[in-house]
Amino acid sequence: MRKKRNNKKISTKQLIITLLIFAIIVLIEHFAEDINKKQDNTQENINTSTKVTYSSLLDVPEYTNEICVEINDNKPYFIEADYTTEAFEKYSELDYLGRCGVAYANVCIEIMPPKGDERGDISSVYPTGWKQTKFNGEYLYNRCHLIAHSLSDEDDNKQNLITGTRYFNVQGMLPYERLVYEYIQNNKNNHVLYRVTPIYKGDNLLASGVEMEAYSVEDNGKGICFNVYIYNVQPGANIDYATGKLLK
Amino acid sequence: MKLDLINGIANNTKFVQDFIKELQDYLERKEDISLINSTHKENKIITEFRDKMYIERSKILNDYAKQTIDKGQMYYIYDKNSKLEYVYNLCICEDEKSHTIIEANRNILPNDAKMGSILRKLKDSYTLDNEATKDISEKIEKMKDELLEKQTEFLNSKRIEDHIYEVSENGKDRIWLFDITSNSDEALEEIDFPKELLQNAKVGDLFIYKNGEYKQY
Repeated sequence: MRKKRNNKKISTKQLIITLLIFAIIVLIEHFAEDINKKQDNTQENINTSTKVTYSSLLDVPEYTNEICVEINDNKPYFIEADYTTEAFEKYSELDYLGRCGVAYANVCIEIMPPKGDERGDISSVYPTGWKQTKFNGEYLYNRCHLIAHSLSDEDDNKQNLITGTRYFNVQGMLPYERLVYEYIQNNKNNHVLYRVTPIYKGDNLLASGVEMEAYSVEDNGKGICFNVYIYNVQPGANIDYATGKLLK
Repeated sequence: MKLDLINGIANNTKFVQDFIKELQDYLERKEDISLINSTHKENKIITEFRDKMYIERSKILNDYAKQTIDKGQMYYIYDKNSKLEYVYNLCICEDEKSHTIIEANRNILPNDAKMGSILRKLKDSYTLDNEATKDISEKIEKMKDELLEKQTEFLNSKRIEDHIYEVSENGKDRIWLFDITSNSDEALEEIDFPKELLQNAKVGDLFIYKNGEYKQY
């Protein structure tokens, strides 16, 4: 009889301990889910503006009112053979019309500017289509880095600068650049494959837009993974992409 | 006498002969400047007209290529490679293909090939088309001269007596100005600006065009 009583006591104690452990596990999982949701929300805030997706660049239509659209279900075209933890930066030669080509880097702390470093003067570079003009009281164009200075420490590299509207630069490219920047700041040993391709129609000197692809290597894209097309537009402005001239 | 001695030594030393040949080759190939750059015959070219020159050069090349298609596919050496020594950048002179950049080592190109050369490809090797190179070179030169004249007319038309100009950007050897008197939204890329004013001009500074020159306002 005593034994039975003892068994009952033990089993109750065990039960309480088990329940306590279970409660702790549930709490931990709850908090972990919360953190993940916050990270997802950041990505989601970008994604909610890019719900439209196209299977390839060839399918991307003329600009309507979305600055950014997804390509290939938001998956970049990197293959496994591209994945590396070696830092690199590659900038294409200018073509025979003086236009930039693909810029491609493995973004990491190694190639980024040191903290507090300010971007140098880029005013000596005049990318094709550069025609400084005022629109609605502000400058229409920026000199836009294909791979942002904050990610590459590049200043007046003419192979990394295109003529882009202020809207394209700030509303289009900058949010994605920030994603990559923050990811690396929070994961200082990690690498992000990052490729920006300016898209020109025919002999146009002003790019119609850029394709931006990124993929975080160490976590197989869980941290950063996108493939988007950003239109080089300024809402309300009628631009001649052959020359960069603002048409009235 | 001393020169004869030196010449004697030079002629009889293979190393020296090779060095002289190498130096000669280098000097003949010496092209520090891309064909389309910011000056032409010591005249500065503004961005708008530089871009026009790019487009016109493209038309000249592709039209010529079409007219001489029987001689084979035409290539044009348009620049030196910025990263690789002894490598030139070539384009194919054909619509839809001309944006491809071909990076070609000097070793696989004809000996006399240099920036501005027209090449033809036969099987797997390039040959220099001297006649086309000469023709194209003359056409491009003429085109640049004509555009430079138009640039001068354009700039003269923007320099208006008694108008006030606001600095938008100081490019060290040129300055960007908005004509605020005519309320123009398009910046003027001014290449004929007094050096002493250019050194210190800042964004927002005002200048007046008076008696054929810019003065602090």
